[in-house]
Amino acid sequence: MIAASLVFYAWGNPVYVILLILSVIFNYYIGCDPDLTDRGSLTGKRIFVCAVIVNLLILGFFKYYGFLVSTVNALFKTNFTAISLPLPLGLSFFTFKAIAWIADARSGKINPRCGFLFFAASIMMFPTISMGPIDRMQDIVPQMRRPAFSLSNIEEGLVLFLVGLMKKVLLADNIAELYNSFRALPAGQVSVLMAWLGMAAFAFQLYFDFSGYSDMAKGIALMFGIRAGDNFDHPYTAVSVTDFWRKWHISLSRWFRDYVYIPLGGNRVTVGRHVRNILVVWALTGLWHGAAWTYVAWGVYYGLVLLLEKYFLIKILEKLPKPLRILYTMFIVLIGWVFFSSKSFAEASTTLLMMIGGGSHDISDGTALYYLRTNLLLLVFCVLGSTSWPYRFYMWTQKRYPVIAACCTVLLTLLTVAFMVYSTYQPFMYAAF
Amino acid sequence: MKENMKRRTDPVQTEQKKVRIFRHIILGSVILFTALMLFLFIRLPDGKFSETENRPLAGAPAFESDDIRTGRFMKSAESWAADQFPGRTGWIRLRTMAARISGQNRIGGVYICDDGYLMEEAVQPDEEFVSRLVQNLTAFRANHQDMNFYMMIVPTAVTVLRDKLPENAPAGDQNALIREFASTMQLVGYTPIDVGDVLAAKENEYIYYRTDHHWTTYGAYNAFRTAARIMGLDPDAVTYDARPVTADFNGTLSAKSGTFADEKDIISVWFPLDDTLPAANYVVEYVDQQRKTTTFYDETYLTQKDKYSVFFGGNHALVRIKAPTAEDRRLLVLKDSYANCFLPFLAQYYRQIDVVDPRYFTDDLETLIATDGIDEVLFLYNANTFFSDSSLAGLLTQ
Repeated sequence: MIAASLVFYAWGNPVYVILLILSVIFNYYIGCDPDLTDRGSLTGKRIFVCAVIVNLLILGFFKYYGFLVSTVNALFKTNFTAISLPLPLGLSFFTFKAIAWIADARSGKINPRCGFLFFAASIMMFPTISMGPIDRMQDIVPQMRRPAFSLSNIEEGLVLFLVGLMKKVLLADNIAELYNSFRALPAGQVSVLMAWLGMAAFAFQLYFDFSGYSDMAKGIALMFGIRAGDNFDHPYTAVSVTDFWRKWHISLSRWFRDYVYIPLGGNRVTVGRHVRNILVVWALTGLWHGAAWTYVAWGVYYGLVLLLEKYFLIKILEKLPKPLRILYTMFIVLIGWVFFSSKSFAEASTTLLMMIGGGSHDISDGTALYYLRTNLLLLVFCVLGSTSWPYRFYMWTQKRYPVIAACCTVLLTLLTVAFMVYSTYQPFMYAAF
Repeated sequence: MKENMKRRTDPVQTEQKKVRIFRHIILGSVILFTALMLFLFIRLPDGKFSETENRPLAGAPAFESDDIRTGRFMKSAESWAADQFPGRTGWIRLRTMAARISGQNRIGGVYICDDGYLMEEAVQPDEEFVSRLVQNLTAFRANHQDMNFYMMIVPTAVTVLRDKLPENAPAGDQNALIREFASTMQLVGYTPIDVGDVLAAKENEYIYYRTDHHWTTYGAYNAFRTAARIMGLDPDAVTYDARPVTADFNGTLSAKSGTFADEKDIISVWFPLDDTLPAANYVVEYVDQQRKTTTFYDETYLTQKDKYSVFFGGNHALVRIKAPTAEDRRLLVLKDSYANCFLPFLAQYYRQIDVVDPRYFTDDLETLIATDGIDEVLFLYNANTFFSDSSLAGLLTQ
């Protein structure tokens, strides 16, 4: 597993393998340091703080250095130049796993002396290293010791992998073209319908890309006898924004809850402090997704919406019928994706203006109708694919008509291969975060 | 009681059994498929060149430590596997079919239109590109006050044959773009040759190939008649005989769209009826190949995929066309491949034409103008190349 992971990691940018190995060694031995768990002593605290800082510095250097320099330049009118390094693959995911590991080791929740090789294999496990899920090491290490190799796991993993691949290749990559067409239009020529189509396309692209990847990662891990955690639970059927974040990128939300929100006091504090905690957590969540102020704004936006829901809206929402609640959630989420997908606040505000029809934007135009007509079937598939129906139907046919279900899967896989041959190579978009 | 228990457990067991059958079939198919593909990948010889795609294919990369460190080896291995994937064309056909069924009618930037036409979408240049071009063209004009400058940017099929496009297709309007650009250039001393209207008037005739991004010789001739009047040439001085040289032309758009349409195009070559004309005694000099001939045409291309290269054997950095005309007019043509079937019409009127393709020309343009005694310049491009290829602006800044 270690060898496979190293080759996988080296495939994209071989030099960073050294960084990866050093980081693994550092984190394992810090975790094993007997002083770390000594809660009374100052050394324990120092070691812990240092370890976290070292991890964050590595992440900060590669991911946020350029961002920091440009922000300082903008604030103080200085003119530092940033060297731009390519971001090591999966660094954000990897660092978070390591910090969780050290934090749990310090609090004594886990026994860190689990064997260096098992630890290394778990944290570097190639299916999940580039885009998560951010599993807790205590969930993976025991499985790594006794992987449940079996034919049935290999088969189950394979099916999961194929389904993930279909989501990515057939849905995400194709709906991405609609989003790209939308972005390629001159701002003056976008109707309201086109703007909403474009943002819906972005939402679907992101979801099927990322959840497809997560399925593939889980599938490969399962073929090696390891069950990785869930990352998505049909988030676009959520009935509130609070619910959405229980269903979207589950492992990341859990990390922020366990290692930032709760240590800050969670919700068992005064209202003022709670508001602060929520906003800190969400600003950081935004920043984790990318080194730009638009991501921070996206995070803070969610923080505010969640506070609103908790203190006011939830009572109103509970009285509404379910379809309306889903619509409300999707509205909030789509507005959120505007910030997420924009390179600058200017771009975000232009897009928002298009969506509300401000300025001279028409409600609908020929271009929008053209894209709606040529993507209608794909959009229908995306909407259906966001619900749990296809999954339940798939499971049902497997139990009743296994041959038909298998034939359909094989045919769809062949179609997926055809789309892959056509596009030849298209990197996953979430890997850059 | 026992009977009851049995009945209750039975369905679950059969369900589990059926799921097992399902999974076995999947695993078996995947293994079989992978093995088959691997077998074909190894057994089939590596293709060197793709006729349908008209480009060389990637070969197996050499295993070098330096390439592994930089990641170049991995990139090459990926393109090797992709290019040599067994049955590549068949897979691409399948994907095109699926995209068509799902309602798409623009594939790979190519619209699938009525009457078997394939049309490349219009290029939308960004402002920076246009302003650089305007700046360099202006400076170039200012350096040669005493010469005549003509600018002919030809709209492609997507604009002229817009009635054949799918409904509401956001294909853009090249005519507006061309005319806005031309009026800017007119202010600094370029004479625009607008062929948008004359081509539009012929929209129901065979002025563009169905499967290729070029115009037909007939399309070029119609544009030539307009150009001749503006450039002070008599278009009626020569009459032509159009001879079809192939009816088996399957152009670039057929591969680019992945449709591999069965549709075939006809290429015609136009010869002057009167062979006492000066153009009957011209010499074509291919400077890059150090070769002289007495024909504009290279028939060897008629048996190959790239049949449009029958005109001048494709694009060259510099071609000199010399003819013993009475008048001593010397023309420089800066052009893309749209000019290739157009130039034979011009050859009747000029003692010398220097044909420069900025995409390949690396010498000094000013030296060429001076030594060859050029006194007229024609820019001849289709709108898509003109508004996307940066080599013209690059050549003019040298």
